[in-house]
Amino acid sequence: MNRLRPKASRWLLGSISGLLGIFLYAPILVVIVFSFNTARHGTGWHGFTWHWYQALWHNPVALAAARNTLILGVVSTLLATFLGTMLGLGLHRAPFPGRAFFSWAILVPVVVPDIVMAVALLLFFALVRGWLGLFALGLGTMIAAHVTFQIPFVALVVRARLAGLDPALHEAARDLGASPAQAFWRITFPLLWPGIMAGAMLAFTLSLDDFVVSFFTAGPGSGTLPILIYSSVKRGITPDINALSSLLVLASLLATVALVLLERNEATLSNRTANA
Amino acid sequence: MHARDPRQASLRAALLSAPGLLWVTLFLLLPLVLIVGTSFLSRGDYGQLERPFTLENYQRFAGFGSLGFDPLYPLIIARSLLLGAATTGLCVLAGLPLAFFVAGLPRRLKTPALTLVVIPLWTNLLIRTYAWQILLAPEGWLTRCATALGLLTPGQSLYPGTLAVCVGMVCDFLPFLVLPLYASVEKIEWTLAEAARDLGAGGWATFRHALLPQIRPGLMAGGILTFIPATGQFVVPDLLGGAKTVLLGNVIQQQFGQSHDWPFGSAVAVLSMTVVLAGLWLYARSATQQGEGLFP
Amino acid sequence: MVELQGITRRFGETLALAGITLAIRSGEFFSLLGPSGCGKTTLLRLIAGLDYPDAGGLRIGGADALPVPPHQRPVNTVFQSYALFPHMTVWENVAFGLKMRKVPRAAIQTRVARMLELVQISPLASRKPAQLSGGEKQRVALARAVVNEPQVLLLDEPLGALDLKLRRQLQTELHDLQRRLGLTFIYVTHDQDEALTMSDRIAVMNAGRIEQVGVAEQLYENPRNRFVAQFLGGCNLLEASFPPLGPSSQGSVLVQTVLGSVRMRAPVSSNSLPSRTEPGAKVTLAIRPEKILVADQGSGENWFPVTIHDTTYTGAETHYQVRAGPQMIKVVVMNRPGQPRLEPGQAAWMHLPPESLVLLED
Repeated sequence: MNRLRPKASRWLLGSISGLLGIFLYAPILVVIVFSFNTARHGTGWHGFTWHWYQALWHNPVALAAARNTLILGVVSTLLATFLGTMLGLGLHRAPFPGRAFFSWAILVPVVVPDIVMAVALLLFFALVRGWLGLFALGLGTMIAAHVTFQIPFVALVVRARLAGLDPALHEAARDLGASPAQAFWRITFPLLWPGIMAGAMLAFTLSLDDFVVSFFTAGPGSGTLPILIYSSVKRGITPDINALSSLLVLASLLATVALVLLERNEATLSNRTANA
Repeated sequence: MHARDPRQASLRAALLSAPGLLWVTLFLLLPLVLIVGTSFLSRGDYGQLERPFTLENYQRFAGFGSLGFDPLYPLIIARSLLLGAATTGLCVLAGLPLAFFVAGLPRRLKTPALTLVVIPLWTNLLIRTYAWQILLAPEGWLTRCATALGLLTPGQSLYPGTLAVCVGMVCDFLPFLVLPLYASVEKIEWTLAEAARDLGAGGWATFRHALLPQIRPGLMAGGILTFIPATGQFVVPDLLGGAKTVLLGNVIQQQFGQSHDWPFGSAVAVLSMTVVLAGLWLYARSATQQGEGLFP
Repeated sequence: MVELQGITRRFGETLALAGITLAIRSGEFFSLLGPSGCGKTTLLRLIAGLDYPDAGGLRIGGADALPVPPHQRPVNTVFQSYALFPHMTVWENVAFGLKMRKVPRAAIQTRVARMLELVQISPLASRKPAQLSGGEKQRVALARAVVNEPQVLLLDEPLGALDLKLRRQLQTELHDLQRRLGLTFIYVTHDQDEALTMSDRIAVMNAGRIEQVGVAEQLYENPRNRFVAQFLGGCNLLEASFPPLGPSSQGSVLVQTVLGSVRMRAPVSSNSLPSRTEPGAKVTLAIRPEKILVADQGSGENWFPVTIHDTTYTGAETHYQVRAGPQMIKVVVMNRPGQPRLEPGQAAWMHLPPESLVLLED
């Protein structure tokens, strides 16, 4: 293939790609760099400092937001992983009435703009609150909202993983004396586990990064880090916000790295091709 | 599974899926249906939802409000669609060289390169977007460069404005488009291009006739998956657009926020959803035409 | 040991198995031989319990097997793709069946160790399947199934993915293993050499039906129909018409063929060879290439003039394509010292020994 394109166009492609790479990463880098800036305002560089990170430790609002973000992320991820895994298993296992419809329906959160989902949930919670008194806005409603857009991702990942498993494995287990339940827990589930973990990591990252849905379903005192960042940015960017953002970016990156490593690990285990 | 009873297997599958499906029905499908319903309601004096059922919200959105023709909202629709199209177009222009570059890398570098492209996607959009405020600030050197090059008059700044929104959107959606595009580019049969060259086609003709048809599925997929969310964006125009760049997403936020006109906001949301569903349907059709399933 | 009675299986529009009736004896090495898509794997899966027939009966060891789920049948399968559990070691894979049946741990230890010895993979006990070669995986799959001492062992083209030399070696080992353990083997393959060398009896299958069942020699020397004749080794087909030209004498009969009149064994009325006496019936005769003689000259009954069309030297044999009248005949001759080499274009004579001509049912 490389015969077709002379060295010059490889270089051209390479430099364009390099520029695009810088373009993609510039925002992240800017935020990180400026979080160490001594100056409070403006965009000039005035010297390196850890000051703003230290200040965060003593900022009760930031700490509360971080706590909320973590609780929200962990709880919603656990719930969504459980429900999403079962959903992925059920959708894969056998056809049932409505399967085709739901397979499409769960794609909706993946493509619909998050603001539409957010206001839909806001409306829903408000109406139910009016009729039944439930769903006062707060951490609970946020968790419910997050789980809703996490489930499809987990279900998709699990389903894809299941489709990649050699069906002969389950049959071999049955042939060797395992009841259907034993075959599932001893063979299918251990091979599925890395996929479930990947789905969970994905869900966690989505929760961590969400702003719009959280914004509309949050109540007083249940603000998360992204909400805090938004309201601060509206008033003007300051380095402590950059510090906070950098930490959030770091958390997202760590989760992503974990995801990539997981993917790499399980690719060596359970492929059909590896069994042939 | 005992092959004996397909009905039993069906029942078990349905039971397994039930909790997840119930949740999705309750917290996703039902709220969306409620939005559709609310779009036909009216707004009461204190902002509460009231009957009578009316088409007024849609009429207002189309520009035919109670005070005669008002182009405010049709303009917003047009602006959102245009911006979505512009973002998609720019992403395609940027995504093609990127996709071809990664596809041309030696095998062991391909996945790491692709991962690098995708990583920004996993960081918070809010953070990436406000960072452009810093980068495009009036005292920032990007603005100073542009002024020096004569692209801007002194005193004008890149941010806030439509250009800034464009930049922010492209930055956000580029990885989104590169992924499916790359999937197509990776599978290209270069022998077709060689044959074209052999028959005397120049560079552009070769691209148009030998390569473009092959990457069409990836382009379509990436394009639709970029255009749909781009038209409904809220955060980017909110942070980078200033007062003049109001898009569909901002309208929705206003109506459910300070204006407290939920029926009208619902109408806008419904229209936004329609764009999405139409796009999804198009995507599904082109995917099945190509013989690729969406599900394994 | 295994009795199938009228087994039928449909997949949508396609009839995968059309009324299979078969009886496999205890301790037998029985092969299901046929081309891809003939239903042999489907049949195997039905015996294992991984699939369920639409009609028909199945008995294993004298008991009705159909209501029994696969994990309770006294049957184990060696899968074509081996289906080794990738997250378990070789040891754990082989021990799996015993564990499922709650065999006491000490017994598991001894039995697994002994089985690994038997198939010569003891040093690989703590490896994972991804670290094994094809031949090693095959042995693990075999060990995993055999260690349970099932009444019937089902093998689904287990050697298909291996290279020729390894395949030959494992064929011998499998055969020896079966003899030693005395288990009933049901072996599925599309490779006729494999079936012919390893099996006690073979069932040739085609399009969901059993064409013929018998020992290797029976199938080869007396194929029942065109399909069996052509599937097992080379074959020449000759059109002839019945009734014969004259009465039977000494168990042989004269029939009219395109080549002229030919003497052949009188067809016997038996289950597999009905005699045709309708006037003007067209039948097919078959004769194997290696049974035909060619010489510079010849005369008498069943000798025909031919022209050599093509010769191919393969070391041990010479293959001739000869033209006899309107027909092309394939002849295979063992190269012996003193044998004349016939050249293309040469006129020669061909002899069809009467006892080698077989009347096919279709």
